[in-house]
Amino acid sequence: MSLNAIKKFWFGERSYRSLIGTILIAGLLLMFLLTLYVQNFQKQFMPLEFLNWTYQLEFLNDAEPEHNDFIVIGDSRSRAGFIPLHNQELRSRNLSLGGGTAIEAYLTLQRYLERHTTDAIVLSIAPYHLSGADVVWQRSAKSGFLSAENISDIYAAAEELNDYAGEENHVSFPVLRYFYYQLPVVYRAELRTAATYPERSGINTSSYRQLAAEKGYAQVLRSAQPGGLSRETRLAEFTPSPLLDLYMRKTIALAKSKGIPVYWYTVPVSTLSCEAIATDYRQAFIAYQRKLVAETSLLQLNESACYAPELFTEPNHLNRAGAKAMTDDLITKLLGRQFSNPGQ
Amino acid sequence: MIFNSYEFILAFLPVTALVFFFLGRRGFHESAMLWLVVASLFFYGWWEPRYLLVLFASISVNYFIGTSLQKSFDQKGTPANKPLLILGITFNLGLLGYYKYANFFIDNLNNLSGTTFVLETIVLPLAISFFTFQQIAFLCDSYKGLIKDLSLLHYTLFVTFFPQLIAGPIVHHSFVLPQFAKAETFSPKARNIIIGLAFFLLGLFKKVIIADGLSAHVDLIFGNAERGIELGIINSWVGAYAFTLQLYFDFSGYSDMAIGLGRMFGIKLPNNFCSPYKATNITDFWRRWHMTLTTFLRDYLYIPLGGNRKGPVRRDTNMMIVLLLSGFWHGASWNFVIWGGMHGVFLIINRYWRMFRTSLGHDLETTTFAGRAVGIGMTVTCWAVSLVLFRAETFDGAMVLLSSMFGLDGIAHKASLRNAPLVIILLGFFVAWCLPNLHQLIEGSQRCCGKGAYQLRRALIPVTWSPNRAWATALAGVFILCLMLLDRPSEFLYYQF
Repeated sequence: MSLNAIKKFWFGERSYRSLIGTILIAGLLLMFLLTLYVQNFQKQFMPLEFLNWTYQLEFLNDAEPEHNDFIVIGDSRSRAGFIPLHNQELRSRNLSLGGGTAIEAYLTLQRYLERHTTDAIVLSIAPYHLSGADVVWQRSAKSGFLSAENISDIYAAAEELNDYAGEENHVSFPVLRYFYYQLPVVYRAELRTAATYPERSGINTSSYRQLAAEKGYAQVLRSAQPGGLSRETRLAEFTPSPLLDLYMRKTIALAKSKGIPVYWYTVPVSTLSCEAIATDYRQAFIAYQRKLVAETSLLQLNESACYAPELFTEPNHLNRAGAKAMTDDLITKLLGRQFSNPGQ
Repeated sequence: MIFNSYEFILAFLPVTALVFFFLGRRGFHESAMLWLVVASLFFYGWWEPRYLLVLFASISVNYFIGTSLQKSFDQKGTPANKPLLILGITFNLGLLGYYKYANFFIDNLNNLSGTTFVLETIVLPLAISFFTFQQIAFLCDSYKGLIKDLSLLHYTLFVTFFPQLIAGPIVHHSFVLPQFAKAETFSPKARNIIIGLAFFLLGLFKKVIIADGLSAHVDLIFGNAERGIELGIINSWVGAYAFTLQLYFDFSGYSDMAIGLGRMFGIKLPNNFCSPYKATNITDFWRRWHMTLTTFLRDYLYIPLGGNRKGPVRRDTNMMIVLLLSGFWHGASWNFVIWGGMHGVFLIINRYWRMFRTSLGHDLETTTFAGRAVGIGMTVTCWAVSLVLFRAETFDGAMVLLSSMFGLDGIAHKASLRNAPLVIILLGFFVAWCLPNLHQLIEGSQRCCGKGAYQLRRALIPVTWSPNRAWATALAGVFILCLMLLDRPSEFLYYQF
C-alpha cells in the first residue's frame, strides 16, 4: 500500500454517517486488543502479589516434572518464611500463595500431584485465612488460578454448607463472575496504578525472577511502617469457616490417598504480636489444629511460635533472616518426624 | 447522576436519545420534549429525589410570574407591574438565600453579636445557583416584553434540559428556546452526533485524565495547609498550579461534555470557556472564563447598575460590586468574597495600567511573543494565587498555603515532590497553552462566542479536526481509555456551587 493510499485511508474525509460505524468498529477492535493485553501481559501492570500466583500457576501447569523431598503449601506468611534453597541437602519447593486459603491449598496440591511428586507436604495457613477468604475473586480469578469448573465446585460446596467464607464471596451466578473477570474493565484500577507507576513492570519482572530462582520463596517488600502487630491481634475470636475446613480436610485426604504424609506448621509471629493476640483466639486456633490432627491423618510440627520483631519486614511477614531461622526450625522438626536419609 | 459515570454513559444517555429521536422522527415533537423533561428530572432526581420538589416549586412560581409579567406588558405595551418582577426576583433570591446562605448569615450573626442561633445544616440542592440565575433572566426579559407565548412544557425543558441543568452553561432562553421550536431538532443528524460525541469525549478526557489525575495531589497539599503544615515554596506553588489546572479542566471538561450532549440532541449550547489560560491580562481572562456567568452578570447586574456610563468612580464601584457578588455566588464563605474582591482589584489595576500605557502612546493591540508570554504567565499566576482562597476550606488554611508560596516559611521545600503528578501538570499546561480549544479544533471557529466576540490567535500547535478515520479512531480510543478509568467517578467541582 502506498503512502498516499494510507494517507487517504486515514485522513481522507468521510461522511459523518460512515464515521459512526468507524467509531463503533474502532471501539470494539480496541476493546478486543485491550482484552488480549490484559489477559496476556499481566506481568506488565498487575500488583506484585499477583506475580506469586502467575508464577505458581505456570510452574504447576508447565514445569518439567520434578521430585521433592517436601513441599510447603500456604499463604504469604509461609511464602516469605520458607527458603527452599537454604538447605541444600533436601529438595524442596515453596508453593505458597499470598492470600491463599485452604481452597487454593487443595487446588495447588491437586495440580502438583498431576505432574510432580513429593515425599511430604507441609501445610501452613494463617488463622484468618481459615476463617474467611479475601481473595477468591481478586487474585484467584484474575490470575486464572481458578478455572470456571473450580469455581462451580467451590460454590456447590459453599451452597451445601451455607458458608461462603465471607459474605463478599456470596454472589449470584458465580461462574458468570469468572467470565466477568476476563473483561479488561475489571483491571482498570491496576492499569491506572501501573500507568502512574512506571517501575511496576520492572519490579514485577525482578520479583518473578526471584520466585523462579528461589523456588517460590519471595520476601515481602519493606513496609512503610515496620513493626506493629499482626492481623490476628485485631480479632477477638477464631472460628473456622466450614467451607475452608472442608477444603483443609480434602487436602489432607488427597495426600493420604497418595500415601503422602501432611504436616502442619504455624509460621511464627513477632513477640509483640504474641503478647497482643487474645488468649481465646490463640486457644481456639490451637484447638482447631488439634481437632484436625485427631480427626485426620494430619501430623503437627508446631502449634505456635514467636520470633523477635527484628526478624520481620512488617507485622505479618518474616524478613530473610527470619525466614532462614524458620526454615532451619521447620527442617529440624521435619527431620525429626520424617526423614532418616535426607536427599534420597 | 454525573456525566462521568457508567450509568450515565451506558444506560441513561443511549436510552434517552433513542426514545427522543424515535418520538421526534414520527412527528411527536411535544411528546419528545416531554420525554426529555422526564429524563432530565430523572437525571436530577438520581442524586436526591426530594430536591425535585424545590425544582418543581421554582419552575412553577417563575413560570406563573413570568407569564403574568408578559400579560402585563402585552396589555400596556411597555414594561409594567414592577412589584411583581421584584416579587419574582425576591422569591428566587430568597430560595437561594435559604438553601445557600442561611447558615452563613446565622454563623456571622452569632460571631458578631454573641448570639447562639442554631440552624440545622441545610443541604444545598444541586444546581440551584444555575437554575435560579436562568429564571431571574427569564423574569427580567418577561418584564421587558421580550418573551411571548411560552408553554409550561417548553419553559420546563428550558430550565431542566439535562446537559446544562447541573452546572451550566447558564443558558439564556433566547438562545435555546428557538432551537426547540425547529422541526429539524427532532431528527437525528450524523453530523450533530459525531460533533457532539467529539465534544463529549474530549471533555471526558479533560475531566477523567487531567482534572481527576490532579485531584489527589491537590487534596493532599490543601489538606496539609488546613492542618497548618508548612509546605515550602516549591510544593505550595506546585499545589496551587495543580489546582489551577484541575479547576479549568474539570469545569471546562464539564462544559464541553454539556455542549456535546446538547449537540447530540440537536441543541447548540453557548460556549463557556475560550482558552482562558491564553489570556494576556486579567480583563482578557474574564472575557474567556465562565463566559455565560460573566455575560449574565454584565447584562443583569453591571449594566443595570450603570455600567461604565456614569463616570470612572461609579464604573470601578460597579465592577467591584459585580466581582464581590460573583465571589459570593460561588459559595457562602468569606473566602469566596475575598476571592471576588481580589479580582475586582486586579481588573481595576489592569484598566488603569492599560490607560497609562495608552497615554504613553503604546499600541495595546500590537504584542510580541515574549510580551504575550509574560502577560500569560502573570495572568495565570494571579489566578493561581487567588484560587488558593477559592479552594481552601478555611481562611487560615489559605493563609498557610499563601505564606508558603511567598517564602514566609522558608525557601527549601520540606516535603518530597516525588508523588506530585508532574507529568499531568505538564500535560495540562501543554493542552491549555499549545493546543486549540475544542471550538477551534472541532468547529474551526477562530472567534470567542458571545457578545464580546473577538478573533483568537492561532494555537501554537494548530491541530484541526476533520471527519476522517484517524479522528474517529482517536475518539474511540479516548472513549475506551476513559471507560477504563471510570471506576471511581468523581463529582465535578462546580456541582458544589
